[in-house]
Amino acid sequence: MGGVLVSRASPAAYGRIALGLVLLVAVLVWFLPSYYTGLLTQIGLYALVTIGLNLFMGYAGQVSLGQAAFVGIGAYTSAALAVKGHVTPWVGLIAGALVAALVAYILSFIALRLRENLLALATLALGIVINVVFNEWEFIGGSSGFKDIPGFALGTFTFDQRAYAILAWALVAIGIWFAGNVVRSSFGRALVAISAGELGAQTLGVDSERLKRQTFVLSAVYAGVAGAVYASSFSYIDPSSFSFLLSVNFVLMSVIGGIRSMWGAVIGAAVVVALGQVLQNVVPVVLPSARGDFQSFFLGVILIAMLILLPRGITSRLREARA
Amino acid sequence: MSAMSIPLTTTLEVRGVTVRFGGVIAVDDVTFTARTAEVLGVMGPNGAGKTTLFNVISGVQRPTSGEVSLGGTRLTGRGVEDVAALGVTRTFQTPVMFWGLTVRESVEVALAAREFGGTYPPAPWRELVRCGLGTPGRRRENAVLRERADAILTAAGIVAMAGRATESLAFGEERLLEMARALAVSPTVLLLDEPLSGLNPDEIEAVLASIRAARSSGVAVLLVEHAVGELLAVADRVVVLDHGRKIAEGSPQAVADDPLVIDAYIGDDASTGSA
Ligand SMILES: Nc1ncnc2c1ncn2[C@@H]1O[C@H](COP(=O)(O)OP(=O)(O)OP(=O)(O)O)[C@@H](O)[C@H]1O
Ligand SMILES: [Mg+2]
Repeated sequence: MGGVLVSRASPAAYGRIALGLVLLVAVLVWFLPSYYTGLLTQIGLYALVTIGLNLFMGYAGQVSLGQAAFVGIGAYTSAALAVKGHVTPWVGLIAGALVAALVAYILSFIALRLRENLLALATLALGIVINVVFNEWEFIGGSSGFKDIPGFALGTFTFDQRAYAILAWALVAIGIWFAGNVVRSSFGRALVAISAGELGAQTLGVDSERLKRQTFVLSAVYAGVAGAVYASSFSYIDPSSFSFLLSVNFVLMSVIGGIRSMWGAVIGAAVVVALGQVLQNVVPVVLPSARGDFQSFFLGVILIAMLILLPRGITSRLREARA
Repeated sequence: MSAMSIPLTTTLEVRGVTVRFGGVIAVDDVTFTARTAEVLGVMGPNGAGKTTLFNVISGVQRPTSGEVSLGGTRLTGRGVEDVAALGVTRTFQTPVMFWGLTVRESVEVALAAREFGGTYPPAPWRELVRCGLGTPGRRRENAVLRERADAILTAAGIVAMAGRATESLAFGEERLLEMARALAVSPTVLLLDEPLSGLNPDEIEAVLASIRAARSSGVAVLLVEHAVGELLAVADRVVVLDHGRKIAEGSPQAVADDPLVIDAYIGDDASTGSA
């Protein structure tokens, strides 16, 4: 059972596989049509958010329905710095992560005091509030957002779609490596302890609130980084890019892949994005009169079916099959 | 660290503690002290308030009135982890396991808290960053924690199950692990809530040996136990609760002969469910 929930692969193995993944993407992008390269970038960025969310959901045992808000904060911070201040997105990326972290830190003092289901609601409320701020604050573009966001560059080379895909997956690799280390450390063990028996861990001196807070902030850093790359790679953002629906999608990616699996985050992101694409292409053919809502409807139905069939995620089934 | 700064002559003082749940008075104006290097038995029929009393001492339950202090430091009003950091830890009537961890890792959780001055993680974010980066320094510390965990498991006689998943443990093994985990924080005061119930004779011997070892290393052990024979045999002093009140306190022999105590137990048997 323990082996099913908590993977015990060595950190070195994690690092190697993650590196292999980046190399694979670096090769793939030369063969894929640019549309699919864009999708690959999107999957990578979603996976990055989901890795952070997995730490919070799978290990700290909490639910966040506000991760899209942190992605948005990262994206808007980086975009505003680049568009208004001509600051390079490399700095924007760090600034975006820091601002997302700061917001998560402040929110945690309110939210982590609340009981679990209320915490989910508090993060949901954050998502709504942040979206209102994006919409109403004219300095950051209001409802029309930012256009022509400057891209990343290395020397004279300005990033193209391929470079963004590689950057996104390099960040995924780093994200998996870092999260994998955390999970295998004293910090990760303390997280497992509080999610299994909070009071028992507290009586040994584990400060569960601080542990959850630091994990929540870390998850916001992952989201903020993803947001900053998103802004530059799509060169356009508006408030609707970071809606509540995206937050729900992150939770789905997390659960579908398996909330305690870092690879699960990648698989979950890939499955949700791929399903969305398939439905976008298949539904109009099968049901020509169906409107766009039907795609979300079918996506929802398929995802719920997956949750029922694989309640602990795809990776748990893979591990059971191997064991 | 903070626990070590408390002198060895320290005592746990429970003063006028009362706990009300609506109309029920679970603990009623209870006062007593526990000294270092002694086993204080806490007896009483079902529902007498023993677990509630432990909850108050360990910071799980705020008393309606009264207070608990350790060596002059007030414990009442602090969070559970802060009480633990000051040297008070406990086990539970139903063992609490950390499913997802192995036996050894469970002990390492306790050791990590101890290592960082009582609570884990420490306030600076450095620890999270070091864990995430897997710095060589942090990895050395991990190796040390692992060795110390094995030493604790050896002392508890359960090192053979070090690598097992906690989900696979039998009830008695869970009790032994919970006890080892509690001892890993080097407590000043150890609260044991029915540590013998559900154990086979070998396991009972192992737990009693751990209790005696803890006592001789200076721990104040508070022992709630329904197995009256074992309790009277291992305890240095005994406090008896009935309906939340302290009805007797003294040597095991004196308490066993106390008519009030005999009454409480017989009365409870005769009127099961009416209390
Ligand atoms: N959280 C609670 N809410 C309401 N009543 C409670 C609560 N906890 C305990 N009680 C009541 O307080 C009284 C004392 O309970 P407690 O669990 O402390 O007894 P105990 O001596 O540990 O009993 P046992 O030997 O059965 O474990 C009981 O009447 C119980 O029903
Ligand atoms: Mg009890």
